[in-house]
Amino acid sequence: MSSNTATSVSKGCFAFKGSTKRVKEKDYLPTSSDRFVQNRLHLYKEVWDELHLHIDLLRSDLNFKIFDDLIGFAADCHKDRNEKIWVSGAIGEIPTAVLITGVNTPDHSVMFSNLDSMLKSKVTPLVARILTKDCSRISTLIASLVSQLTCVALPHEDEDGEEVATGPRNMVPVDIPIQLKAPARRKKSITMSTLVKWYNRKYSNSTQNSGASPRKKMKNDNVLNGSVDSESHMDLHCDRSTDKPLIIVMLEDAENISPGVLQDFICLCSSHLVSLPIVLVMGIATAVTAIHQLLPSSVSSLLCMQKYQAPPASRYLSQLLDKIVMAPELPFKLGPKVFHFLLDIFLYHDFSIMNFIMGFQHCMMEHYLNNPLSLLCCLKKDVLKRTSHLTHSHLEEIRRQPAFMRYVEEQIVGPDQAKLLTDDTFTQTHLAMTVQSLHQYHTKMFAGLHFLHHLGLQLPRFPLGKQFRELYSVCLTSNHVCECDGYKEALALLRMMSMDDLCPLLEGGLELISKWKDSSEEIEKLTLDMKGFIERLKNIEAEPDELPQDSNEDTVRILPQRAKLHELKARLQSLSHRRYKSPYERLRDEIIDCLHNHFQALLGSPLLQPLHEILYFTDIVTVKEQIKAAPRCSIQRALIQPGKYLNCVCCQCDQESILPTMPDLCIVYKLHLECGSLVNLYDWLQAFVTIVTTEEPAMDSKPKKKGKSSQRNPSVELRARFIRAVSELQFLGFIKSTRRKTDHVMRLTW
Amino acid sequence: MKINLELSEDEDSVDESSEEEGSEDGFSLTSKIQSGEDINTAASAENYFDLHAHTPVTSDRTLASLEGPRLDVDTVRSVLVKLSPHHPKHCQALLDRHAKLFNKWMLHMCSGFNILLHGLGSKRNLLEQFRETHLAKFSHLVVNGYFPSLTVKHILNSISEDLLESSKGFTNPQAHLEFIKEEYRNRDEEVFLVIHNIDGVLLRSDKCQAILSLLAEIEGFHIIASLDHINAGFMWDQTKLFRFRWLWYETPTFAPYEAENSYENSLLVQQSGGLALSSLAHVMRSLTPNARQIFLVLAEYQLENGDSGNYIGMSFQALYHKCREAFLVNSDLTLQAQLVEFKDHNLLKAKKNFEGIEHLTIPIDQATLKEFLHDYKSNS
Repeated sequence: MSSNTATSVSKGCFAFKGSTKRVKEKDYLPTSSDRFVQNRLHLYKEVWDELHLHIDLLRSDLNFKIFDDLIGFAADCHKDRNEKIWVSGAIGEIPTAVLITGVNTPDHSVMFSNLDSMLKSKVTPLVARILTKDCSRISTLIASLVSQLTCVALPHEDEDGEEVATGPRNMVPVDIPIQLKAPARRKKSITMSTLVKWYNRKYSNSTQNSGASPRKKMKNDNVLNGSVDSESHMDLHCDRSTDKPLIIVMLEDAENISPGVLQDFICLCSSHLVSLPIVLVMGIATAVTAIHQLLPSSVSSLLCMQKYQAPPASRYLSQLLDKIVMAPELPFKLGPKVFHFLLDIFLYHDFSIMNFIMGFQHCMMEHYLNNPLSLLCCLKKDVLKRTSHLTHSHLEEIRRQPAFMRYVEEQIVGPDQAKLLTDDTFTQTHLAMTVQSLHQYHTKMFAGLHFLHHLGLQLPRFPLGKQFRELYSVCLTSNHVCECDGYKEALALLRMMSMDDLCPLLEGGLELISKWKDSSEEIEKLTLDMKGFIERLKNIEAEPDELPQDSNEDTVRILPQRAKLHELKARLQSLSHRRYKSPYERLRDEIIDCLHNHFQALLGSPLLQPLHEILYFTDIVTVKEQIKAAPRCSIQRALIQPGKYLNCVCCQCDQESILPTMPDLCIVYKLHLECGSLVNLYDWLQAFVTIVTTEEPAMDSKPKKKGKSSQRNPSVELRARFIRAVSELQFLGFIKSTRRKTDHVMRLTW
Repeated sequence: MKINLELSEDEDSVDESSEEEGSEDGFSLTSKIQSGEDINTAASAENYFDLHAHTPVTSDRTLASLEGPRLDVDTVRSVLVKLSPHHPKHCQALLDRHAKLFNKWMLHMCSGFNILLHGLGSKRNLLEQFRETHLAKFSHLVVNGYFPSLTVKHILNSISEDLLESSKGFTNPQAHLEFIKEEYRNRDEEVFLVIHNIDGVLLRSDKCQAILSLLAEIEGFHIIASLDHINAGFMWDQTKLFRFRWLWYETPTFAPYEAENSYENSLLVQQSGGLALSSLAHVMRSLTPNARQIFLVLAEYQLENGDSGNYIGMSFQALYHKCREAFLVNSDLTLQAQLVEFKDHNLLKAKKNFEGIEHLTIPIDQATLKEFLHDYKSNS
């Protein structure tokens, strides 16, 4: 079978029908040593579903505001056009909402489908989404538009469409002797006037019908089929607005539509605006100026544009991170390197949330697949249930994990150590306790981090970073947040803050962490302390004023005395140290010291907690390779150092040297690296032959006998090998043929 | 590309835990290689200018100074088949190591990812092995991306005709795609696409990749593909990349590209023109007898006169007179109409000389043309 598919010269595709319809995941679990991978996979599904729900919620929240505005615009835009203008046909401007979507194109389709459903439910049932793929020609665009609009209101309408199409076809034989193909004819007949006809018939009739006698309905037998449907549909609308429903056309990626088609479409819309209340929604990835580049002013003047800026992807990411990735609720956590890796891809590569989520999902799956400890990586509320269900074999599996063993050896002393390794019930309760305390620790930590972040936001130059994720990553990478420079700078700056700033700052911070207030003692204590301080700040007058005991005397004493310059200097300095502190300043110092103590207790790195391996995924190597591979590098690595991949003794060498035992392709590649931008094939062949023949002095005496002449005229076999290697290099894209010089090739890499 | 390259440089030491877990399975490969010494694969702008700053100096020797004729494809192939394979044991070990990942691939595909294999060497056999062991019981489609006349329409047709057993015709791929999507929505069946060389010459175009990426989005469709060209990553923009949801696996096999490498444009090989011949015969079969005769007239003329160095083709007038004599056409307009067919198939090139007279040539070398005429006459 395999040879069949490889070498066939008549076909490139081979289909095989299978007997089984669905794939069962459990058939493919790694069977060898890991018996509970299925349980874990199940758990993964649970957690992922939960997470997915949150992501969806977030997504619908995010664009709510901008969509609201846009919907308001769409609903209002045709209202002010009164009947007089309608009749006179003076209007030519199409109301257009330009939605600036940002460059993260993969995320857009979700956004537009949200907008689509919102428009449909709130403004009009006639909404069409035009995708780039429909826009190769104006006819396909119109066809897609018409089919979307007509399907919405009335599925039966297809028949009518056909009727319209058959009309001219019947006349064809009379007019032209040479007949066009029927389907092509039908396609062509879908135009804007088809839409106008359909729209007029449908909505003028139904508005009349809703008030008029049923007799009128009978008169127009065209709509007989679907009148019941359309009427019920319409009644809804007539109640809300006496106007006819709007037609909203969404051009999702306007920059990608060919300008000609877009221009035609806009002109068409404009000319039919009298009969069709069209509203355009254009998605633009870059900036509004793109429209003016796409369209000549004669066309763009037909648009009455209103700009809507969708929130940038980075804000979406921050929200996603804040609510999902960096939240205590989700058990699965990314280790520092993985976290940075995913973040870097987003920030420096694609700006795509969907890709970020995909990467996150992949990491999560890897975690549950590969780490047996992840059996315990579940939501906090399930921890007890889960640990109590652990069987003896489960526990044995866990005990075998290096992370667990390390934990037992290093952190547990006394009789518990032995118990943990033998006593199942004890281990169960102990595990439950540890995992719960891990969750607990996270709650505390995140509350503390949020509080600190809030303080940091008010400081000049943002020593703790603008984004919460920066602070979080500090927390992950360093041993303790309090040790890092940014933190120290931030505290120093806080010590200089005025009362008017400090008080609202603390209040805001308290509000921020209020949802975690009851979750742990430490946070509760922090809240209480801060409340007390705020109280005291508000009644600052009541603070006891520290008596300036001897300072006054000092100053008095210095002045009349004659003193040497350096003495005076030293004295002045010591004076300044002891300078007078206002009650507020003393209170402020007290507050900052108290805060520092709290942060000391709260913000240690979670990676130092016992058994953090249960929740944290740190295997960057695997994920990195699968999400962000560098195919070119891997090929070049393999070409330069084949020995590393092949694991053979004969090809081990450093980067520069060429060994005759290497695969032909590697030799040829390395030889071509020595050349300039052009490579002479003849010389290349000779070099290749020289290298390859030095290896086999014992193999065959033939080339030896011939000596030099054999070198100049290599055997057919060697030439064939060389040809294969060179054409493989060409296949890989390292060289290409050139006509600049006979029998030369051009290098494409450098 | 720069970013890509830098990412691969190893700055992250390998975690101990992954080393421990990986050593038994097939995952140790990359960690071992990455922890090795750093290879300078980063391409820098300076290197480019260094290389292209001065015109390259190469010797003037040509392949003509080799004794004996240039090898043709068949000889090359037959010689290569006889060669003993290179490092057979080690290559087999590599293959075996990759084969341990098969289950993982299936698992990933089940959860909505698609698999992309890269790395040096033909991955055909690896994919075939995977297909035979893991996909045999499911509906699947094998696509040879390197196949010289593959179009995306073939792929869609294979799905709709062979897998869905529908004989519906489609005017454009979009409609076709819609149909497939609709069908599979109701079917509750999974389909695996095995694409050898998704970066094959004919699949490289933006349009093809767009359609493939849309296929990847259909529920129940899974893709496992291989990729070889060093710049293949440029095929996909963000949107397509997202639709594909690739997970990359580095699977170097060091196997020669036997099936993939057609030696079609290779410089060292004497071009046999086999493909041109078959396409010529193919087009001829579909023509009217008159058109065939016209082409024969042209071909014979070229065969007689084409050997001279300054042959610029048969002038249109000369062809017209000859055809008129043979009662093949009755006006120069009908001749023009007949020629359009050839021009569409690239079997005819028209060029105007300095006097403005059109000259017609068949862009095929003499030997092939001769063979074609011989074949044609012996058949008819």
